[in-house]
Amino acid sequence: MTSVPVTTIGGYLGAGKTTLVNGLLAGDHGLRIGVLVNDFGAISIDEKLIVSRDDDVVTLANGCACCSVAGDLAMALDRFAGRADRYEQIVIEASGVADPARIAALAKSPGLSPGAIVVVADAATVRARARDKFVGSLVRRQLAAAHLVVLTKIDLAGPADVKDARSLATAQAPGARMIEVLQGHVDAGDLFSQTTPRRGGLPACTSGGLEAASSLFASHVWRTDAPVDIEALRTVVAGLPNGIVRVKGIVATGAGRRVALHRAGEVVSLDPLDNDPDTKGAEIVVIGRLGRLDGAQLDGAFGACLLQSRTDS
Amino acid sequence: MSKMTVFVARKIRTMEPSLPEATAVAVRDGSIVEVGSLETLRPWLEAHPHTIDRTFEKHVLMPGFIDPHLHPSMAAYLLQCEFITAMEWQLPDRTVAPVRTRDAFLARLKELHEANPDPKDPIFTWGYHRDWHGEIWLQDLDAISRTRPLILVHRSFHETIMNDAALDYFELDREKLQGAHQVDIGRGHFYEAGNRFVRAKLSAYLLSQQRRGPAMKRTAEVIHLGGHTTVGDMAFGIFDHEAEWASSVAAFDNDETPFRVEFVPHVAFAGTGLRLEQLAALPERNRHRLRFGKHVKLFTDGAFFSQLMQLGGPGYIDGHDGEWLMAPEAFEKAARALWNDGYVIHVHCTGDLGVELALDVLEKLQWERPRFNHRFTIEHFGISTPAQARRIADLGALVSANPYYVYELSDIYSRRGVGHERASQMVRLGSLSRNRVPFALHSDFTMAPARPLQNAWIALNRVNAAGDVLCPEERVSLDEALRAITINAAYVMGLEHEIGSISSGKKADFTVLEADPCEVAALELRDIPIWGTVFEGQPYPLGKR
Repeated sequence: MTSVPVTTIGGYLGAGKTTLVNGLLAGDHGLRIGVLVNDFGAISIDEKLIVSRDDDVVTLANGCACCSVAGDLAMALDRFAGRADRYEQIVIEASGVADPARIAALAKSPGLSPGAIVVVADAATVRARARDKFVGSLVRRQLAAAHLVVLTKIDLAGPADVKDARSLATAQAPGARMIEVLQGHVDAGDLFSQTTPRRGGLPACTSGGLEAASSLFASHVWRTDAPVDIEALRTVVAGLPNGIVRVKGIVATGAGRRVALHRAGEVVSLDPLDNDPDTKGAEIVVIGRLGRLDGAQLDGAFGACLLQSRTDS
Repeated sequence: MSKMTVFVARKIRTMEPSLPEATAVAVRDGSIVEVGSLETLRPWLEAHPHTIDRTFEKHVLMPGFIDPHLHPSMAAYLLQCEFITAMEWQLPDRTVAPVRTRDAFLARLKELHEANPDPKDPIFTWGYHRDWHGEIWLQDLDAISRTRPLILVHRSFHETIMNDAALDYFELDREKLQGAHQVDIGRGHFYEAGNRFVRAKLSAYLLSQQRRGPAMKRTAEVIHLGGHTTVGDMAFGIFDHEAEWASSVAAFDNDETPFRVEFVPHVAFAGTGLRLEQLAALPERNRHRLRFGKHVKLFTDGAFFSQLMQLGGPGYIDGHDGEWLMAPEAFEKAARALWNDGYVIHVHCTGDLGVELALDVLEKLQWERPRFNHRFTIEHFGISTPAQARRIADLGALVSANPYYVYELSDIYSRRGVGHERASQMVRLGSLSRNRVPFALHSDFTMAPARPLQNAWIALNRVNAAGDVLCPEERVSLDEALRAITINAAYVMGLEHEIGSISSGKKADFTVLEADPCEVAALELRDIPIWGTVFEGQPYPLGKR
């Protein structure tokens, strides 16, 4: 019997672990994945896809299966390991208060081999969580265990939040790969393309795997303190290529006034916000499909909208 | 209506300030008719047929002792092990003397082996701890026997060490387990996560159908031995609520049982316990001795014995982190639903950050929906801050504390863990007293011996196992210590109108002592012999069940 790699998905409560797991179970990835979940109730399985229920294991038409941890993760993992020949990959959804490094160590067990630790973090809240008096040290420890950090819900987070989340993850898990996603949908290939951590280091980023991941997104933040020509900006945003799925930001328009900039689909809108004399320049986050988001090109296009640069030229 | 019985005693300590001492108590149909003296009882005695029972003429009666927090289902497992422990344990059939060296541990194990005539019968021991007993591995156990399975269950339950015969007996595959995480198969050692390879097999053996019944009977004997007439099962549903209920009914729901059990369900998280919607129907199961009230159990931080309590700054000396058993948000959500539904919430809190979370949430809930007489209770109360004692008072919360931490752990945690200041002040009952917070004492058995008098002794003296007095400023008075195992324990369980003191109309539950706690020296409180108990008017002497 060959050993089955075990990927651990950790991260604090509400980070998006279950969304990610739901995506794996329903995904058309061709992998037979066995998933140990924390809370069966939170898993959304289409009844039509269930081919069998055997004790506490639910098997799906795509070859994946799902089993509830029900109290003792180690015992549940062993029950799963006993049927390891049926799976190419085992995934553990760790509890929101677990240290994923400790969970991953459980895979050092007959028939199993430890794979990558994936830590999911909600871009909008992770920074505050990491400072929380009750869970701050736990959240930082979870990030530090990651080989791959998945920043979720970047479409819901403000640009400053996304940037903060990114720098927090980089500081806690230097060298870990990071991907950014809308909601919590991650391509299975990306999770497992390099599941075995290199000795003493972290899994390498394989760009091929990322290109192929059509459900993956990345974001780019552009920021300036200098005054911006709002109409020029509107034209640039309206003309961004197809791979860009969302743009949002805050732009100062002089004398303390400011507007919210949005592009969803093809529609660009500028909505006045309350005055704030401290807002200067602009901060804009662009979300696009991985491989279609060219940061340098965006910086160039936005930079051309600065009033200053036009006066100089 | 049956005939009245009047128990005459050398002294009755009623624990009621309105009538603290008495010498006679009239009992009918399980309840107290009146307490006082034969003189003051005369109007009742003249009006009703009665018998005068002078069995306790030389004894002292107290209200039946109450332990509001122990775990009968876990006890059933533990009580099948031979105890070889660093601390003294009193068991129904023997008192286990402390064993504090490696040689003494191995000698005791050898003795047990030689005393057992069946050469194949496995011997399980509980209590092994490296701090006291040094390193003991498979080879050391093989030197005692190569044929009899010998199993050492660690004091914390997180480790197991066994000999070759035990590996064979439990069909543990040496080759497969070679190199498994936290397993050292060559030394027969399974620890932390590695303990899972043996835990299920040991449980299946110890809690098999034919063993579970007798084990629960032993649990009943231990509860009786401590002088209890009421105990709380403070996490009903921790393993499997139907199995726990069935074995409790089988073992305790009969007239031989000299106590009642109040079940407090463990609210679901991480796959164990009961869901909120399962709680309401539980009281429909109530029987004479086995009852559900409107109380629930929640958890914040990790185990005190494993140093997994959550500490605020400056944390642990070695920098490790504690654990949350429930995520703080999940705790708050469950607490809110239960609070708004009128439940009394008991929260397992071991470290000061765990206490802080419980109090933060209580304060929010009070703001959202004020409740009087809510009896929100902090359970265990290991490490806390002086400010928290005051805040507990401000919020109207109660404490059910485990003073045994002071006895067994204060010395070790001073040196390795949290340092002297916080270790010496653990379980700060004196601060609670100064802030007028009602508190009870519990054993959390199997975590500590189920001996209320010993717990009261610790609260009174704060003497630890090393013989040192720890933070005398946190001691409490004898009256407070005794209230904590009687009327205040009843209060924490919401049963102070029925039990916990000796007064007219209450249950006729007494603990019968051979000496008066108010007359012996403070350091001798725990040594007062217990004759037995009276449960609902019926005497139950020890050692004659």
